[in-house]
Amino acid sequence: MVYLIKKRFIDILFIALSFIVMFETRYYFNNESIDSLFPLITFYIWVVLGLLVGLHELRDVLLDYTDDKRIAKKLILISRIIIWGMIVYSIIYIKDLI
Amino acid sequence: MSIKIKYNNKNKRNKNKNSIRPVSPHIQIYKWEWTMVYSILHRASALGVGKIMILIYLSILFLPNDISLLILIKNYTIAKIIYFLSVLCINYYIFATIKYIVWDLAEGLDLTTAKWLGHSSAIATIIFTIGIYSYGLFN
Repeated sequence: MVYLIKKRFIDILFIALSFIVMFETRYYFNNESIDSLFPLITFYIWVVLGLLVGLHELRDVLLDYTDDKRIAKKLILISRIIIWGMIVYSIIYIKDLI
Repeated sequence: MSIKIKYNNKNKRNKNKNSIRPVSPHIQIYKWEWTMVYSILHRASALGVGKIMILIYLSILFLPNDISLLILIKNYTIAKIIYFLSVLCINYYIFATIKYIVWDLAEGLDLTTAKWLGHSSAIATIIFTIGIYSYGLFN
Protein backbone atom coordinates (compact mmCIF):
# COMPACT_ATOMS: atom_id res chain seq x y z
CA MET A 1 0.00 0.00 0.00
CA VAL A 2 2.77 2.41 1.02
CA TYR A 3 4.69 1.33 -2.08
CA LEU A 4 1.70 2.03 -4.33
CA ILE A 5 1.11 5.47 -2.79
CA LYS A 6 4.82 6.29 -3.21
CA LYS A 7 4.72 5.11 -6.82
CA ARG A 8 1.59 7.13 -7.63
CA PHE A 9 3.05 10.20 -5.91
CA ILE A 10 6.17 9.96 -8.10
CA ASP A 11 3.94 9.39 -11.16
CA ILE A 12 1.83 12.50 -10.47
CA LEU A 13 4.95 14.62 -9.92
CA PHE A 14 6.47 13.23 -13.12
CA ILE A 15 3.33 14.01 -15.14
CA ALA A 16 3.11 17.57 -13.75
CA LEU A 17 6.78 18.23 -14.50
CA SER A 18 6.42 16.66 -17.96
CA PHE A 19 3.82 19.28 -18.88
CA ILE A 20 6.04 22.07 -17.52
CA VAL A 21 9.02 20.70 -19.49
CA MET A 22 6.83 20.50 -22.63
CA PHE A 23 6.00 24.21 -22.33
CA GLU A 24 9.65 25.07 -21.83
CA THR A 25 10.87 22.97 -24.76
CA ARG A 26 12.30 26.01 -26.56
CA TYR A 27 15.06 26.35 -23.96
CA TYR A 28 16.27 22.81 -24.44
CA PHE A 29 15.93 22.69 -28.22
CA ASN A 30 17.33 26.06 -29.18
CA ASN A 31 20.08 26.16 -26.59
CA GLU A 32 18.79 29.58 -25.55
CA SER A 33 20.42 31.29 -22.64
CA ILE A 34 18.28 30.54 -19.64
CA ASP A 35 17.36 33.64 -17.67
CA SER A 36 16.22 31.90 -14.52
CA LEU A 37 17.27 28.64 -12.94
CA PHE A 38 13.68 27.38 -12.83
CA PRO A 39 13.66 25.57 -16.22
CA LEU A 40 17.02 23.97 -15.49
CA ILE A 41 16.10 22.75 -12.04
CA THR A 42 12.70 21.55 -13.33
CA PHE A 43 14.47 19.63 -16.08
CA TYR A 44 16.89 17.95 -13.66
CA ILE A 45 14.12 16.99 -11.24
CA TRP A 46 12.12 15.65 -14.22
CA VAL A 47 15.06 13.49 -15.32
CA VAL A 48 15.56 12.09 -11.81
CA LEU A 49 11.82 11.39 -11.43
CA GLY A 50 11.87 9.64 -14.82
CA LEU A 51 14.70 7.46 -13.56
CA LEU A 52 12.70 6.61 -10.44
CA VAL A 53 9.70 5.71 -12.63
CA GLY A 54 11.89 3.33 -14.65
CA LEU A 55 13.34 1.87 -11.46
CA HIS A 56 9.93 1.17 -9.92
CA GLU A 57 8.75 -0.49 -13.10
CA LEU A 58 11.91 -2.58 -13.32
CA ARG A 59 11.25 -3.77 -9.78
CA ASP A 60 7.65 -4.70 -10.66
CA VAL A 61 8.74 -6.60 -13.77
CA LEU A 62 11.45 -8.46 -11.86
CA LEU A 63 9.01 -9.45 -9.15
CA ASP A 64 6.59 -10.69 -11.83
CA TYR A 65 9.13 -13.04 -13.33
CA THR A 66 11.11 -14.24 -10.36
CA ASP A 67 10.26 -15.82 -7.05
CA ASP A 68 13.67 -14.85 -5.78
CA LYS A 69 13.27 -11.47 -4.12
CA ARG A 70 16.97 -11.40 -3.25
CA ILE A 71 17.98 -10.88 -6.90
CA ALA A 72 15.40 -8.11 -7.29
CA LYS A 73 16.54 -6.46 -4.06
CA LYS A 74 20.19 -6.53 -5.14
CA LEU A 75 19.34 -4.97 -8.51
CA ILE A 76 17.21 -2.31 -6.85
CA LEU A 77 20.06 -1.52 -4.45
CA ILE A 78 22.51 -1.08 -7.36
CA SER A 79 20.02 1.15 -9.22
CA ARG A 80 19.41 3.22 -6.07
CA ILE A 81 23.14 3.83 -5.68
CA ILE A 82 23.33 4.97 -9.34
CA ILE A 83 20.31 7.27 -8.96
CA TRP A 84 21.62 8.85 -5.75
CA GLY A 85 24.94 9.38 -7.51
CA MET A 86 23.06 11.18 -10.29
CA ILE A 87 21.07 13.30 -7.81
CA VAL A 88 24.28 14.37 -6.03
CA TYR A 89 25.94 15.13 -9.38
CA SER A 90 22.91 17.23 -10.46
CA ILE A 91 23.03 19.25 -7.23
CA ILE A 92 26.76 19.91 -7.71
CA TYR A 93 26.19 20.83 -11.38
CA ILE A 94 23.38 23.29 -10.57
CA LYS A 95 25.37 24.71 -7.64
CA ASP A 96 28.27 25.44 -10.02
CA LEU A 97 25.90 27.31 -12.35
CA ILE A 98 24.70 29.52 -9.50
CA MET B 1 6.34 -39.39 13.64
CA SER B 2 6.12 -36.17 11.75
CA ILE B 3 8.46 -35.40 8.92
CA LYS B 4 9.61 -31.82 8.78
CA ILE B 5 10.04 -30.64 5.17
CA LYS B 6 12.49 -27.85 4.64
CA TYR B 7 10.71 -25.46 2.33
CA ASN B 8 12.97 -22.61 1.58
CA ASN B 9 13.26 -20.27 -1.41
CA LYS B 10 15.61 -22.63 -3.26
CA ASN B 11 13.14 -25.50 -3.09
CA LYS B 12 10.38 -23.20 -4.27
CA ARG B 13 12.47 -22.07 -7.25
CA ASN B 14 13.32 -25.64 -8.22
CA LYS B 15 9.68 -26.65 -7.90
CA ASN B 16 8.62 -23.85 -10.23
CA LYS B 17 11.43 -24.66 -12.67
CA ASN B 18 10.55 -28.37 -12.79
CA SER B 19 6.86 -27.80 -13.33
CA ILE B 20 5.81 -26.99 -16.89
CA ARG B 21 3.64 -24.09 -15.76
CA PRO B 22 4.17 -20.82 -17.62
CA VAL B 23 5.69 -17.97 -15.65
CA SER B 24 3.59 -15.06 -14.44
CA PRO B 25 1.84 -13.04 -16.03
CA HIS B 26 0.80 -16.03 -18.19
CA ILE B 27 0.99 -14.27 -21.55
CA GLN B 28 1.23 -17.64 -23.29
CA ILE B 29 -2.14 -18.95 -22.12
CA TYR B 30 -4.35 -15.87 -21.93
CA LYS B 31 -6.46 -14.74 -24.84
CA TRP B 32 -5.19 -11.36 -26.02
CA GLU B 33 -7.36 -8.45 -24.93
CA TRP B 34 -7.00 -4.70 -25.50
CA THR B 35 -6.61 -4.06 -21.75
CA MET B 36 -3.80 -6.62 -21.64
CA VAL B 37 -2.03 -5.00 -24.61
CA TYR B 38 -2.26 -1.56 -22.97
CA SER B 39 -0.97 -2.95 -19.67
CA ILE B 40 2.08 -4.49 -21.38
CA LEU B 41 2.66 -1.25 -23.31
CA HIS B 42 2.51 0.68 -20.01
CA ARG B 43 5.21 -1.56 -18.56
CA ALA B 44 7.35 -1.21 -21.68
CA SER B 45 6.90 2.57 -21.81
CA ALA B 46 7.85 2.94 -18.13
CA LEU B 47 11.05 0.97 -18.71
CA GLY B 48 11.59 3.12 -21.81
CA VAL B 49 11.22 6.31 -19.76
CA GLY B 50 14.01 5.10 -17.46
CA LYS B 51 16.29 4.41 -20.42
CA ILE B 52 15.50 7.79 -22.04
CA MET B 53 16.43 9.59 -18.82
CA ILE B 54 19.75 7.72 -18.68
CA LEU B 55 20.34 8.77 -22.31
CA ILE B 56 19.52 12.43 -21.54
CA TYR B 57 21.81 12.32 -18.54
CA LEU B 58 24.68 10.85 -20.55
CA SER B 59 24.13 13.43 -23.31
CA ILE B 60 24.36 16.24 -20.71
CA LEU B 61 27.57 14.73 -19.38
CA PHE B 62 29.35 14.02 -22.64
CA LEU B 63 27.97 16.31 -25.38
CA PRO B 64 30.03 19.47 -26.00
CA ASN B 65 28.28 22.72 -25.07
CA ASP B 66 27.99 24.02 -28.64
CA ILE B 67 25.96 21.02 -29.86
CA SER B 68 22.27 21.41 -29.05
CA LEU B 69 19.74 18.61 -29.17
CA LEU B 70 18.03 20.39 -32.06
CA ILE B 71 21.14 20.16 -34.26
CA LEU B 72 21.40 16.44 -33.59
CA ILE B 73 17.70 15.82 -34.29
CA LYS B 74 17.73 17.82 -37.53
CA ASN B 75 20.87 16.24 -38.95
CA TYR B 76 20.86 12.58 -37.98
CA THR B 77 18.19 10.02 -38.85
CA ILE B 78 19.06 7.86 -35.84
CA ALA B 79 18.57 10.91 -33.56
CA LYS B 80 15.18 11.51 -35.21
CA ILE B 81 14.13 7.90 -34.56
CA ILE B 82 15.32 8.02 -30.94
CA TYR B 83 13.56 11.37 -30.47
CA PHE B 84 10.29 10.01 -31.90
CA LEU B 85 10.41 6.86 -29.74
CA SER B 86 11.25 8.91 -26.66
CA VAL B 87 8.33 11.29 -27.17
CA LEU B 88 6.02 8.32 -27.84
CA CYS B 89 7.19 6.49 -24.71
CA ILE B 90 6.89 9.49 -22.40
CA ASN B 91 3.47 10.48 -23.77
CA TYR B 92 2.10 6.95 -23.53
CA TYR B 93 3.40 6.65 -19.98
CA ILE B 94 1.77 9.97 -19.00
CA PHE B 95 -1.68 9.09 -20.40
CA ALA B 96 -1.64 5.47 -19.24
CA THR B 97 -0.69 6.64 -15.73
CA ILE B 98 -3.60 9.10 -15.73
CA LYS B 99 -5.79 6.08 -16.58
CA TYR B 100 -4.30 4.11 -13.66
CA ILE B 101 -4.91 7.02 -11.29
CA VAL B 102 -8.58 7.04 -12.39
CA TRP B 103 -8.73 3.29 -11.65
CA ASP B 104 -7.11 3.87 -8.22
CA LEU B 105 -10.02 6.16 -7.42
CA ALA B 106 -12.32 3.18 -8.11
CA GLU B 107 -13.78 4.74 -11.26
CA GLY B 108 -14.17 3.18 -14.71
CA LEU B 109 -13.37 -0.35 -13.63
CA ASP B 110 -16.00 -2.15 -15.74
CA LEU B 111 -14.66 -3.86 -18.85
CA THR B 112 -16.16 -1.56 -21.48
CA THR B 113 -15.03 1.64 -19.75
CA ALA B 114 -11.59 0.14 -19.07
CA LYS B 115 -11.24 -0.70 -22.76
CA TRP B 116 -12.30 2.79 -23.86
CA LEU B 117 -10.02 4.45 -21.32
CA GLY B 118 -7.18 2.46 -22.91
CA HIS B 119 -8.23 3.51 -26.42
CA SER B 120 -8.51 7.17 -25.43
CA SER B 121 -5.06 7.13 -23.81
CA ALA B 122 -3.64 5.64 -27.03
CA ILE B 123 -5.36 8.31 -29.18
CA ALA B 124 -4.15 11.11 -26.87
CA THR B 125 -0.64 9.66 -27.10
CA ILE B 126 -0.70 9.71 -30.91
CA ILE B 127 -2.00 13.33 -31.05
CA PHE B 128 0.54 14.63 -28.50
CA THR B 129 3.41 12.68 -30.06
CA ILE B 130 2.74 14.09 -33.53
CA GLY B 131 2.40 17.60 -32.06
CA ILE B 132 5.60 17.54 -30.01
CA TYR B 133 7.60 15.68 -32.65
CA SER B 134 6.63 18.23 -35.32
CA TYR B 135 7.42 21.12 -32.96
CA GLY B 136 10.89 19.74 -32.24
CA LEU B 137 11.59 18.97 -35.89
CA PHE B 138 10.21 22.02 -37.69
CA ASN B 139 10.46 24.82 -35.12
